[in-house]
Amino acid sequence: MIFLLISVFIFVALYDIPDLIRKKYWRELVVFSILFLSIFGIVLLQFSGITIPSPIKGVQYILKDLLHLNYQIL
Amino acid sequence: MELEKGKISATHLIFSIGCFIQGSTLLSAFVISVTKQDTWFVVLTGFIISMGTIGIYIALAKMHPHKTIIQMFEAIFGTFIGKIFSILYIFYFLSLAGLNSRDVGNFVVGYIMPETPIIALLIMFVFICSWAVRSGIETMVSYSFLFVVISYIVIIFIFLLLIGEMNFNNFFPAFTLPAIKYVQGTHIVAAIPFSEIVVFLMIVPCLDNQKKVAESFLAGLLIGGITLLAVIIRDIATLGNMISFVTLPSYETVKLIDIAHIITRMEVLYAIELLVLQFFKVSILYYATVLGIAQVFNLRSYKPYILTVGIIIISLSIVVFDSPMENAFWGSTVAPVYSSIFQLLFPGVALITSLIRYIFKGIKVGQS
Repeated sequence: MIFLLISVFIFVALYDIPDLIRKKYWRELVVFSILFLSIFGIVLLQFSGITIPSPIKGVQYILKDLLHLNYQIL
Repeated sequence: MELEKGKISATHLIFSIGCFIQGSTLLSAFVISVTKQDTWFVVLTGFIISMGTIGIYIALAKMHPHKTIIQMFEAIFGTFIGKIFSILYIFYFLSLAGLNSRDVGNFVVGYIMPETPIIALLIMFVFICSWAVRSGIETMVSYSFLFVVISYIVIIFIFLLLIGEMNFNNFFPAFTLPAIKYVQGTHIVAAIPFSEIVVFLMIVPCLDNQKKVAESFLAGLLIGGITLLAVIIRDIATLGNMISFVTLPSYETVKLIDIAHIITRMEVLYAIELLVLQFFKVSILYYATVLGIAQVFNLRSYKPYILTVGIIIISLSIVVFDSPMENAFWGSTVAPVYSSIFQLLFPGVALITSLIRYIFKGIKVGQS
């Protein structure tokens, strides 16, 4: 499974990076690398069985439990 | 530098907005679980209220022509605060894309292919969406007319087949719920299907004739609103009291079609319609996210980020909720508030700020 995942990421990198280098888009390459490496880390953790906290549940916690801006289920 | 060179016509914008709203039509359970047999009424009130919020978007688009919502915020609030707003908007579009992909996954796993792991479906679905996004906005919106026509044909066809099952006494007793339920229902309808078209402020700069923004938005809203109303009336008339207990009312409605045991099992029609419309909706949100990222970081191309953002959407839609029940709870209690921040609060603040700047400084912000 991890092997499949890594090969998918290698495919994405090989698909997108050569074009950026050919056009000399260095700024774009930096943003791409940051985005790519962070999502790679997150997905790797996700696949090795670590529970990633859901961002939507974070929003729900802020709106519902901290600010109490929700509707009630009667 | 122009990121998106494609141009779209007003007709395409109308049908894309209609198609986008129709995408939410099929998942009407959020509001039906709250207002039950009176849902048709909150659809009407929600429609009227969302005309107001769409007025804000139209005013913003008129004051800042040829700008996406992200560029608008940078023009109004300056670079730093503008970028904070923009990143919040990207998160909003991304979360909507994740939630909508999850809806598709939940539907397919829950009703059609229970043995399949959800990730396999999500990978295929998001891959198709990324293909659409890569081909550019022109190609994406030119399919909208076809999709709207398909869904209207399906809706009319199902309506005709179900006439025998309908009982209009199911609308009674009317208006017996506590008043807060109607407020909640109106809020849900205004926030979840209708005002989500705030995402089209990312696409408006591609419109070839900027003068037609207002009528495109309103006509699109009308197409979507009529569909939503028709579907809700059909479902209430067919299902009656049962409607508030089921997770996918339209699906249960379609299941009831049985004409002489020959024309039956029409669920596949619903499945096709749902997948087609959700595909369109997720691609628009996906496109907005990718374009937003490119504009926040002042990049020269958005194409290299498409696959990476696709992986983010898949990963997000896997972790987003543990069960469909949590999703339903979120949809009917917290989601309207969350969406309203981005649909009403931020655009409202932006509109007021640009009006103040326009009045006091006499500078037209859009031309600065």
